[in-house]
Amino acid sequence: MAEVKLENVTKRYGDLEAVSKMTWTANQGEFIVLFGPSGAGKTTTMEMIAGLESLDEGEIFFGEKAMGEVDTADRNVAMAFENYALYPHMSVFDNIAFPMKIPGRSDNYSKQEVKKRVEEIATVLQIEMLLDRKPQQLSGGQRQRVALGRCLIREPVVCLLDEPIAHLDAKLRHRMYAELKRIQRERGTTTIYATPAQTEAMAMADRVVVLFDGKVQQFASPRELYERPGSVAVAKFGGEQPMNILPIKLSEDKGKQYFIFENQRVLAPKNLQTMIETNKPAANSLLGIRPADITIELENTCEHGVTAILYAVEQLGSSARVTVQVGDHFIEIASKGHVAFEAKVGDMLWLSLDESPLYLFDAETTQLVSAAND
Amino acid sequence: MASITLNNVWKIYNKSIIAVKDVSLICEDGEFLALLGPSGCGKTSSLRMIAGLEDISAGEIKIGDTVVNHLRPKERDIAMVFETYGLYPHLSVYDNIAFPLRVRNFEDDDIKERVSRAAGVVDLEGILDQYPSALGDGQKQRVSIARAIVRDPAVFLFDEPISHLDETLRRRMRAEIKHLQATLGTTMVYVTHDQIEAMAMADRIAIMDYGVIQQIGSPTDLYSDPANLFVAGFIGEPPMNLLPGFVENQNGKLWFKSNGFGVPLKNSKQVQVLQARANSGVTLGIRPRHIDSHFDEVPDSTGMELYGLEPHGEYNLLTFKVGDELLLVQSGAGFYPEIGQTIYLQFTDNIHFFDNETQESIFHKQGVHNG
Amino acid sequence: MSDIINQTDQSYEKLISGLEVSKDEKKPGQIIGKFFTYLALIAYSLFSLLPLWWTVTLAFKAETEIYTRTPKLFGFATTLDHWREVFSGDASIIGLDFLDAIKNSLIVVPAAVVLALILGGPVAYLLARYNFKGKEDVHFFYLSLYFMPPMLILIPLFVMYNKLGLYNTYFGMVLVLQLVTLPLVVLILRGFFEDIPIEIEHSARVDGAKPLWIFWRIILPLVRPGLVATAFLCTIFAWNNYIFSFLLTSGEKQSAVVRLTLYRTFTGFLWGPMSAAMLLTVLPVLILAIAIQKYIVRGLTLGAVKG
Repeated sequence: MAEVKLENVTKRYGDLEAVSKMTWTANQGEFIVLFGPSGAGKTTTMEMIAGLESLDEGEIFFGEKAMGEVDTADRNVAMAFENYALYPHMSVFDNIAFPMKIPGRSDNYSKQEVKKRVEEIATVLQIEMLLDRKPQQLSGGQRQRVALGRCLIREPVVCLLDEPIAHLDAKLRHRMYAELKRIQRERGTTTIYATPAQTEAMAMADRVVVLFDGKVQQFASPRELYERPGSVAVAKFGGEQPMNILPIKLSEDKGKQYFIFENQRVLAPKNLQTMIETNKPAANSLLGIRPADITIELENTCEHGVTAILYAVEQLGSSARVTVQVGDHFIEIASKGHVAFEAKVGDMLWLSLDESPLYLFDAETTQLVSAAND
Repeated sequence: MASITLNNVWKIYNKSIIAVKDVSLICEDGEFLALLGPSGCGKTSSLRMIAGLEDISAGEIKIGDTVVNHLRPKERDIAMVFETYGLYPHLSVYDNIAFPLRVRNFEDDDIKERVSRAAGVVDLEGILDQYPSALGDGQKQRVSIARAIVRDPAVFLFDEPISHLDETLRRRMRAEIKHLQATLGTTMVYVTHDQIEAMAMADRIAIMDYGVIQQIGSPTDLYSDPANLFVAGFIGEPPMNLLPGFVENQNGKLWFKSNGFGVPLKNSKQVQVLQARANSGVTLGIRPRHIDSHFDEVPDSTGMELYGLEPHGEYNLLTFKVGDELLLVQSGAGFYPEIGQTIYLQFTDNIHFFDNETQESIFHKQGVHNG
Repeated sequence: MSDIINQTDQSYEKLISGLEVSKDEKKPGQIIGKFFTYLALIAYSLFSLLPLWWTVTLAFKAETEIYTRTPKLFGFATTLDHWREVFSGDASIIGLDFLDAIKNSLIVVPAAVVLALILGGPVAYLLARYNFKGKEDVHFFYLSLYFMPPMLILIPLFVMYNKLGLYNTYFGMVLVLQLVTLPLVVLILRGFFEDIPIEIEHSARVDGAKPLWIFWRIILPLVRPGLVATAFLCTIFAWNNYIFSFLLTSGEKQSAVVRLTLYRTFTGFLWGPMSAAMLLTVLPVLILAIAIQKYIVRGLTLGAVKG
């Protein structure tokens, strides 16, 4: 058990930097989620922590010890892979027990102990009736849980989980979130979990490393990611519905603040005015608004309104998602409850930002200038 | 444009595997019908029978007024969009879209006009001379759609066209397909295993399991009035809580009891219907958002120990253990209890009950709740 | 408006019985098409099998039947003399100890195959797993061994073998047959190794196993069907090889394939004994094929490690 520290870790494949100067520390016992789309560098990072990949620059520490020269087999990490990597010629029981049976491991357990632990883990993962079967006879979800079992059976320094529950159905997934967190909390094992699913990251993490193109965008708790996204990239990914990001130009006329979006000049709402006064941002900025914070008006009655054309309406049972088009941009609006929509696709609508919490980003650096409620 | 009718359609493989069992449905002219269900439920087999890619074991399929059982796919005036695009890598985007027309010997001028129109509908005008290998996944799928549009068919058939795309692209494509349907007005049959997709896009959904249609209705119908346990558990994210137990009279009130935990039933209409079921096995169904959570005890609430907490930005998901099952409760964003804390849960009357034997909804179509 | 469709088991029963009776009417064109397809297939099969059958008949035909102007495919006079000759060993009338030749093949070929697996296996594994400069050149090198006509190296090979004292030895034969078996092992096994997801090895390493242990206890068992299939193919090629045995052995260490061509006299070929010898030569490999056919099919469908 120890903290895991990454310092300026860089990995290159030819000219491509898969991971760039990555620096963050997982405290002991913390549940860290590596979050980012596929290709962001999550798996590469995990492999470097496990020692399966070499580092081109930087260093990884387990506690005080640098891991540079330490071979994978000696690092005492446990890893669960996205494509399970089960041994097809062994039964489920043997697969899970495998880590305990490798010669030369410092923790050598007796047969009964192994059996007990395997059965314990299997019960938690709800696969105790499958112990005699071979991987080929299992469904995708079952195989995934066997892979998890094989990882959880040890007591490693750090547990690395690479999209371990991607292929389970919704009900089981929620269950696994709770169970995984509970096991992790009980054992206090430092855990690093990779996923491209934003809901999963939010559900499980103590803190999240948001990764895009190999670069760390933000390293913070889920709550903070949602309330104060550090950059446009993070804002677009946080929350159930990604934030709308509008490129705007700020201008002043006769003492009043305006913003220009897609050739429309709109009087800046109060929130925005305060932000402009406090932060004096550059004229070229990016305005962030959450889909749930935009109100649609069927008539031009708002003071701070944007004109848009209705593009598509999706009814989702308990809410509706409306997509509108403004010039080349598409804006998403979410409304609770069943929306009885009189407008048809192609009709003109007005988006009211009067009461909306707003986020301002710098257009050059894409970093957050000011967040609503700041 | 045409309607699609399936009358008692069966599909049996090798005389032993029943993929589609006595399916009857009508997709109206201009309607967007989704065939939804888990893998192996028969939705793809049904679609392929409509397309003519599979033989029909029994029953009849009509497109418009014509029975098409013996017609080959190209005779059926349909266009199909597949999950794997099916683009010709050695042809440019223009040639890919033009392909179905060239096969039918259309005039070059005619082809040019139709291709640009189709490309315009899916916003592909700038890249007509590029090759599939240079395109992103979303673009490839739009080329595939354009190729289907260009034939101006009576019906579009979609076979899970966006399930493998990443999240952002999927959201984009959903709006695009929905927009497409609004502009073209063509009848569309769309197969998917993702209930969010079906709910978002379809006018009506036919939800299937083990080859049998479980329910057909609008997304709202399926969401608020599921006909059986399967539909209830399948539709909605986060999924509906389903707790097996029984109904019992206690102290003059009707209660639902399960694993040492009880819910009093207050809605008089519901009580009336359920009274007849007292002491029989039923399963309670309630969506996470229809359970209210409080830090303090309130009337008619049950105190339970918090097992897990998932923050999701706009809302939080609380998990509780009821016997072996997990109870999910959705709360507002500001509600941040500690694990292990006792939270008081109040069940609203937006609940469903299912008979444990038949798995069917007891309240279905009886107008006893708000939906 | 929601509907529930209920299925009844009665309708299912009706359907199943109905299926037997009413099939989709096939258009007449389709039936005739199928008929001619079958006809063509059968005709071709007979055509292919004819030479084999001819050989079988020769092995059993009496001399008169062999040298007649009107040979028969069936209903001829038979004799077992040819077989007695082939099995006669030392006592051969013609002077060919054929059983000895079979013995030679049975010694040399398995040895050559095993050696190829031992030498080629690790090469295939390295090519599958590691990236190094010139990797594909190495792969191409092995492939190129099949492009090369043996004729090119016959003379140098002959001279070398004589100088090294390898002429007419078992060891020499096993060595030269590597030209036939080794490329096969490297090329085919590489594919099998590549089919194993690297995560399996990663997983074992993370759990603390050392690379050699992983190769022996995890990788090899996983490619077992591939090993069997490859070994079998090597056996066929090595067993049937003519040119190297012909060149580099004489008399005592000759292989069966070479010796059977010696069934001739000044007047011509001894068709009877030669055919019998041919059939005997084919037999061991045929038996092997039947014994391991399950493995061969498995070897071609390794998979399902991931869903």
